[in-house]
Amino acid sequence: MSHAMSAEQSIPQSSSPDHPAAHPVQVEGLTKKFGSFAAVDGLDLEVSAGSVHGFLGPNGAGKSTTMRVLLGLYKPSAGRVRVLGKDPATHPAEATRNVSAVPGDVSLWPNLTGRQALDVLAGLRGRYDRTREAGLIERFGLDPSKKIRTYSTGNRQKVMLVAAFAARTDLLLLDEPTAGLDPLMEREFGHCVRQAVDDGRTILLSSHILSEVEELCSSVTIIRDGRLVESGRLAAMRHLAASGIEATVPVERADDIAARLAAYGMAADHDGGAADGVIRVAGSVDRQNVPEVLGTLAASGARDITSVPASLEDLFMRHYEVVS
Amino acid sequence: MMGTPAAVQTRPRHRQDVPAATGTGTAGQYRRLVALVLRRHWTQLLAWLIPLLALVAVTAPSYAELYPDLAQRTVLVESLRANTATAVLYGPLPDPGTLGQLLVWETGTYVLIVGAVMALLLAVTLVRRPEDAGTLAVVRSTGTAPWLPVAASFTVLIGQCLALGAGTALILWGQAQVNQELTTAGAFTFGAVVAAVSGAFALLATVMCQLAPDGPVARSWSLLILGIAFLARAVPNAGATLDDAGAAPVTWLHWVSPLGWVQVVAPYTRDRAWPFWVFGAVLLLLLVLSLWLASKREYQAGIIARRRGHDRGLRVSSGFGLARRRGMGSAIGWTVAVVALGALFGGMSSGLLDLLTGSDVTAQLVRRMMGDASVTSMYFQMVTLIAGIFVAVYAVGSVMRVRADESAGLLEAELVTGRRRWEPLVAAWVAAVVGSAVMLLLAGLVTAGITAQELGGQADAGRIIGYFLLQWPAAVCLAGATALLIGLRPQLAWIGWALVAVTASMTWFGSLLEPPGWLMDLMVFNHVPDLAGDDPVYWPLAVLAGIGVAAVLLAVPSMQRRDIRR
Repeated sequence: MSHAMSAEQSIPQSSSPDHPAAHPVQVEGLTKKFGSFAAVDGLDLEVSAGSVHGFLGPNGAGKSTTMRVLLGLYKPSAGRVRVLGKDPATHPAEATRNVSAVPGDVSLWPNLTGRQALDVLAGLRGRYDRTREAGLIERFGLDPSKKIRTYSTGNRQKVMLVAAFAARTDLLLLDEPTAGLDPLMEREFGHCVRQAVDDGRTILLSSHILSEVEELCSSVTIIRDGRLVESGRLAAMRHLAASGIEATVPVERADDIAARLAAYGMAADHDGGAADGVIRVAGSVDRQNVPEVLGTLAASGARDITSVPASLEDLFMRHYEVVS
Repeated sequence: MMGTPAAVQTRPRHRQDVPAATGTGTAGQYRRLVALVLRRHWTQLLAWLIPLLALVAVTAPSYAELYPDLAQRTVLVESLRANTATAVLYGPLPDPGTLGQLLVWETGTYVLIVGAVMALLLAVTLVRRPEDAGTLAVVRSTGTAPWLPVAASFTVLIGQCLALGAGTALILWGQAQVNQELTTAGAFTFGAVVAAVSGAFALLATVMCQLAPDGPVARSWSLLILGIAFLARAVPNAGATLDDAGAAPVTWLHWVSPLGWVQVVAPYTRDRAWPFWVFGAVLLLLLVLSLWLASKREYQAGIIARRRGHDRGLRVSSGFGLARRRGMGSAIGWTVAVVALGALFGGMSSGLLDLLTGSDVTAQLVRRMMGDASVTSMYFQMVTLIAGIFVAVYAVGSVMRVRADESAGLLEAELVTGRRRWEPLVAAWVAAVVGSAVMLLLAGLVTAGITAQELGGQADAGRIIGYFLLQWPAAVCLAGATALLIGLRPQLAWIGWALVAVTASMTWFGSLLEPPGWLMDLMVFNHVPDLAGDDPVYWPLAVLAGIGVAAVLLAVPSMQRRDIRR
């Protein structure tokens, strides 16, 4: 067994782009079907080492299915999946040995206490970091002497987060981990994520909450109906999303202004009809062109100019509403 | 197993399936809630009802076929009376041993005990589990009065007990129309007592549901009460002789233990009606007590508070350690049950002395037919068969926990810590197999010790322990088969329980049906050799154990192949 494992590890190391150390999670063309229904359909996903990678999508998009494939719980119908260089479908134990996972819906042994559940999770993994665990218990304000049965959803989630962050693992797969947490605990969670990255760990964070992803992640993969919508660095995608600009301009100059704005890549729409000789125009533009656009508008006698950085929310909404 | 949330969503159904009750008033809500409970549990309700009624239906005809008239039955009746084991289990067989009396005595005891198990398990499932699982909160938040879901659960629960009693009565009434030896009065008295006894255990369990902090604890307490009720009937029955009227004697313990009520009313012998007023009053009292306690307790808590948490840790380093730790509670419970069973029969074994040393005609006849060794052998073969069935239920239940873990999401919590796929399943099987061996050995030692005190030199300790240990391969086999089912198709895991139920019933009652030999060979409990014989055959037991091991080995790759689902 050990021979086979070492052989398997050595193969990806020879081809440098596939180096497991560079990309702890590699998914190519993943399809997972349940009967005739494809929960995930041809998904590509690559997570760089040391990054926090957001995995965005609405409910039922296939995020949890993908996570379960990564954890070796589901067998993929097609595609190539590597977690820390191992195939979770054939070697689930090896693939998850250095992975901490927090499911969206945490289940733990109801008749054990929180303390005992943590002991079991750490004991099964075989590695323990008592001091880190104690610090996390304090950070999340968890009372580990109570039985799991009496815990609320949020408290069960805290147990799992403590176990995940305390474990000495390289990769964290977090499936909507803040669903049951209050805002204070969400902040603590953010702190833990940043701490984990500082420690050199990699995180794949699935979520349908944009603000969370915007705040924590450096890159993001967006899926919908099991298919990849968009993937890349968050900064680049924010750049794509651009700024939304609105202004009120004199009617007689509207066409002229629109033509000049078009030169900066802004397609300006008339919003409603003209009233009192003025008309409202709106559009979006790359962020780097915002100063020029604003300058043009100001020089043209435009009034009530607003420029708002389009949030990822807009991008997100567009992806789910336009693509259908 | 059948009550898992997964069971609800197996098949998408049309809305008409929950009959649209008319009106939105209390009556309408009540009808909807009853329909909801039935929709959720109908398979479980029928799975208990149909086999029990089928057993009632086949008993009298098969007795009648084997021994058409009373005179032919004299020898059978005499030998059954002489058997101490049957006396402890069933009580004294009333005179003269009509079909109805035989039926109530043997099949009736089984129906009462299994009916009691059914009633108390259902009570916990219907009355307490919705609260623990949170579905009751959903129902309560739709604007129904708090008592309405309770009323719906009690309706279905008591309805099931009444259905068992009514079904029994109707079947036996129908048979009374054909067979002169059966009576209409006996049919209805027995049906009524079946309903009363199962109802009593159902209501006792609902009282436990109010007292206990959660469902599993309530279930353990209820099963303990059933065990005590059985003891309270078995002890006075062990040495009892028939009264002048030819009926089994009635002591105060028979009134106290619902399982003894059948002897109080004596169906097909006395057909007493008046005790039902007392039983009815007891049932009403239990119902009122249960509802009163329900009003006194907090939601999702019991009258008796949950033990407060503690800071003790838990050292577990593998799936095997976790399986051992989690299985300990049920293993201790089952060990107590099996050891108590052995101790009871060991303690009652002095009854065998009459046969071994007695001078009456029966004793001499039995001794001549079987030899001294076989008299004790037969006794302990019967006792250990019951122990073997208990142990098999424990073993299958332990393996079945993996299935429950999977639908509850606990299996994935265990697996994603970097454990091998097969480990939890194999660990559960190993825990079951080791636990079975330990409890059989303990029961054997205790029984042998007690029997040695009762019988002195007549007790062969080695053979008694041997009979207990020889039950082990059946448990190994059934636990292995269950593991394989879970590995292959977890949705079919219930077949594991069906295997236990069918093999146990066929071994116990198979002779009634006169099945072909090859069919009986399939019954795993049917292969224990006669240790008093000249040349006991052990290889079938080795085959059984081998099948169990092979099944687990086959479960390993199938567990690795399939998806782990919730």
